[in-house]
Amino acid sequence: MKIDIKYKWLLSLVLVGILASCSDDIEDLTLESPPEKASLISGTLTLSSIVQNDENAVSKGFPSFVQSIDLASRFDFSDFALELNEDGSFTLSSGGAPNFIGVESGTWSLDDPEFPETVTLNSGSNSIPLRVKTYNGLLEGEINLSFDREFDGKLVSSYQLTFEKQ
Amino acid sequence: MKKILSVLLLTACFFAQDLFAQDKCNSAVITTSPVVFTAEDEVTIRADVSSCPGLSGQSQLWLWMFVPDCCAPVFGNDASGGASDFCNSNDMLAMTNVEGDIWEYTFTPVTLFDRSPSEITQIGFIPKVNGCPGDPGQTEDLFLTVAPSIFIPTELRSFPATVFQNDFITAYFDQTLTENTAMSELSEIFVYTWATRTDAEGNSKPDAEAVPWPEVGNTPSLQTLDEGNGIFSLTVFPQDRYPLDEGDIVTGFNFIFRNAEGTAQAETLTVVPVTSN
Repeated sequence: MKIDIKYKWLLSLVLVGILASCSDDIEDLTLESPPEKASLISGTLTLSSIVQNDENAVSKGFPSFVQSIDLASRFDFSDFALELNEDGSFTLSSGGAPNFIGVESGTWSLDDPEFPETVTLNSGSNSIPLRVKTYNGLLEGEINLSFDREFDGKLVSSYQLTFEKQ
Repeated sequence: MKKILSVLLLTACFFAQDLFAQDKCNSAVITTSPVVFTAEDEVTIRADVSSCPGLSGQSQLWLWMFVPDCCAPVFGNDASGGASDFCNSNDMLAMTNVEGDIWEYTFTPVTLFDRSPSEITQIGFIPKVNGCPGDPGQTEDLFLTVAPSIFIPTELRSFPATVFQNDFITAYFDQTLTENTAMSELSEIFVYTWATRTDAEGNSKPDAEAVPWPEVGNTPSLQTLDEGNGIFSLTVFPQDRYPLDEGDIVTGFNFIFRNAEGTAQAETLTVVPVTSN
């Protein structure tokens, strides 16, 4: 019985010592605001993957080889780059690949700076929406966008784009 | 004399019928939504009959519908919407006026015809007025292709199913499904491809060839990708592949798979693009 009481007092002293030593660390711990999505998305983005989907085939569960095509295996997109500048301007350089987005320069914007769902490229009378597919990879400099093609209000095909921020 | 006059009169009546007869309308503009549909999809047929004298300006139009070599629409126990009574239009097939001379009808094929998807591969229809006023009161027979609900490999196919003229388009040739012996034995396959087009006003323009037929075999960018298992493909981006002019409206992309020499070839694959809206 006496041994147990001594053991408990010893534990108590140890715990107090631990808590006392942590208090300074806790006081020094501050939470930093997460980086804004706009700053994560903007910059020089090089295209690392482009897959064309037939959304009709996808919805019907057709075999995978009928659902999509990896266009990067058929065209050289290594120099395809999208520059989203902090001043709101953009330039698109397709290099030797087809410019399937159809615009080269103009202004860009987000529908929601905190939780963006769409990056819009504006050039003259053209307004090209690029849907943000996921925030996964943003912190690592990976931006996943979808260039959707609609007909009669229905999604018929899409281009799944993965950019790497330089 | 009377006999001669009677014969002359009958002859005159015979030709007079031709003089005053008008043909069934062959210029109605037909679209469907969706563009590609299966027998289990709800689909809307839209008909613009503004160029049809016997249909333009009518207060109501109906559809005559049928599945070729099969069957007519079924409404409960009443199958009168189809083959049984062309001159007595069924109100269940009355079209809805969108505006002016544009009419619509929405249905689901398996429900309308009470058949399984495999039995409905094509739908025939005729926009018409009620009754049988003669040919001007209807269009010629029109047909819609119903897409299969499952993927069925074919000798020729294109990707994706719905394309715009500024899309990547891939044409496929399945060598294992061709009955052309020469094509089935090739290890290198090229593609002769061209676009048919109009100007912005709808006037036809000369075909826009990627390269002339004799040069195809010497054009590396027109050699197909061998994907294995007898599948060969070619992907094009129209603006870079064809000599199109600003404002051109492409009415069709055409592909002929062939050998380098041009002495063996498959049938023509035609892909019709939709217009952005």
